[in-house]
Amino acid sequence: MSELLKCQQLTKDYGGVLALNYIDLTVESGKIIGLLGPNGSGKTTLIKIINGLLTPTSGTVLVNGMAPGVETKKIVAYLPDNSYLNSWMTVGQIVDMFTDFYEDFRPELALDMLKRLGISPEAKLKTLSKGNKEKVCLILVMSRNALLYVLDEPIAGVDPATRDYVISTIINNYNPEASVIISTHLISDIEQVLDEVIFINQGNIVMKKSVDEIREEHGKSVDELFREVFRW
Amino acid sequence: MVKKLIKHEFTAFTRTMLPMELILLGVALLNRIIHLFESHDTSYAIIEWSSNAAYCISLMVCGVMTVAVAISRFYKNLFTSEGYLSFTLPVTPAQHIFAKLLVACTYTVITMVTVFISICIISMGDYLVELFKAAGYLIEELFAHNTVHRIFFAIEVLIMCVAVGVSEILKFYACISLGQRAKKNRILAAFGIYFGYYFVCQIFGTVLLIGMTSFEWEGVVKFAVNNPNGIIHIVLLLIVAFYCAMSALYFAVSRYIMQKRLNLE
Repeated sequence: MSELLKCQQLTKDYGGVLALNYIDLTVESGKIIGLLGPNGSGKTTLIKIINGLLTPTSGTVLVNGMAPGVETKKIVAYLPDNSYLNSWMTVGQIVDMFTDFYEDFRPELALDMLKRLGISPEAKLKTLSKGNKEKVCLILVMSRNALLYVLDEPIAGVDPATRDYVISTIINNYNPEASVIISTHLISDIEQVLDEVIFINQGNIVMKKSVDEIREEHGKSVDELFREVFRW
Repeated sequence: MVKKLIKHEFTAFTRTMLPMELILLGVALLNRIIHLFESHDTSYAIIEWSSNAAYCISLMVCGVMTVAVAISRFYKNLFTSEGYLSFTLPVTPAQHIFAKLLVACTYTVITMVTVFISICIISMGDYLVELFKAAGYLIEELFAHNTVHRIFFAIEVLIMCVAVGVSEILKFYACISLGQRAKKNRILAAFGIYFGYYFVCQIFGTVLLIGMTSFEWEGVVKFAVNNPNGIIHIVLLLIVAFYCAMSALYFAVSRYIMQKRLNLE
C-alpha cells in the first residue's frame, strides 16, 4: 500500500480562527476512509486544501508525492458539498466537459448510470430536483478512474433511498487501488462501507483507526464511539 | 487543454451574446423597413422615433453586455461555486486567464462587426456611401502633407487598439482577483480596488503632466518637425509598449492570486 496523501504540520488560519491546527495525516491507497467530525471541525477546509482550492497558512500537503496542482488534479476526483455545476448546461454537456478535461473519465459508464436513473442527457441541470442534481454530481465523480476520490458530504440533505444509491455507487465504481475519503457526520449510514475513520475536531486529528480496531478495542460501532468522543 | 477551455468559454459566451447580436441586427432591419414607408403622419413619426430609440438601446445594451459578460464570466466561473469545478480541472491559472481573455477579445470584435453590419443595414445605399467617401477624404487629407506610411500607420493603430483593449480586460481581471483577498464583501472590494486604482492613476497622470511642463521640449519639437513620419511611429509604439507592460502586470497579479493565494469560500 502506497502513501497517497500526506499532510505535514498543515495549518489554516482564517484571520484568527484556526480551522486546521498543525495536523499530520497519512492516507494509504486501497481504502475507504471516513473523515468524521462535527460541523465546523475543519473537514471541508482540509478537503479544499487537498484539492488546491484553499491555500494553507503553513505546512505541506502532498498527493501521490506532489503538491496540489495540475498533476494532482488529474488523479483526484472531488465532489464538493455544494452545487458546483453550471446550471444552464444540460447533463450531456457536463458529461462532454468531463470527457474533454479528464483523461480518466468514462463517459459510457456515466451515461449508463444516468440512463438507469432515468435522467436524460438533454435535461438541463436547473430543471433537476436537488436529489437528482446530487446524483448527477456523484455519477460524474465516480465515473472517473481516479487514484483518490474526495467526497465532501455526499449524503447530506438527501432522502434515505438516495443515500443507499449514493453509497452503492461509491462502492461499485471506485478503483480498488484508489482511496476514497468521505466526509460526513451521518456516520450510521456510511459505517458499513468504511475501512478506516479519521476523527477531526476543532482543527485537530483526534483519532485515526481502522473500523476493526475500533470494534475490537472499544467494543463499539463507529457511530457510538463518535457520539462518545464528541459528546457536549 | 487551452483549446478545450476556449471551446467551453465560447459556448458560455455565445449563450448570452448571440441573442443580443441577433436582436441588434433584427432591430436595425426593422428600422430600415420602417424607413421605407416614410410619411408625414404623426403616427409614422411615433413609430419612427420608437424604432430609432429601440435601435440606440439595442446598440448600447450590446456594447455594455460584451463588457459585462467578459467580467461576469471571469468572476462567476472562477470565484463562485463554479470555481470548484474550474479549479479542479487539470489546467493552470494562466490557461484559464488566457482562454477567458481570448474569448472576451474575440466577442468584442464580433460585437464591433455586428454594430457595423447594423449601421450598414440602417443606412443601406443612402448614407453609407457618403460615409465611406467622407472617411476616404479624411484619410487622404491626413496623409497629404507628410510621409507617414499608411499601411504601417494602420497596422500600428490596430495593434494599439488591441493592446488597449487587452489591457483594460486584464485590469478588470486583476481587480476581481485582488478583491478575492478580502475576508468579506469581495465584489465590493473588487470595485473599490478598481476605482481606487483609477483615482491613483489620475493623480499620477496629473503629476506627470505638471512635471512635463518643466521639461526642455525644444529638442523634441525640432525632431518632430524634421521627422514628422518618425515621431508618429515612435509615439504609437511607446503607447503599445506601455499597454503591453501594464497587461503583463495585470496578468501576473491575477495568475499569482489564483495560483498562490486562492481562497474559495
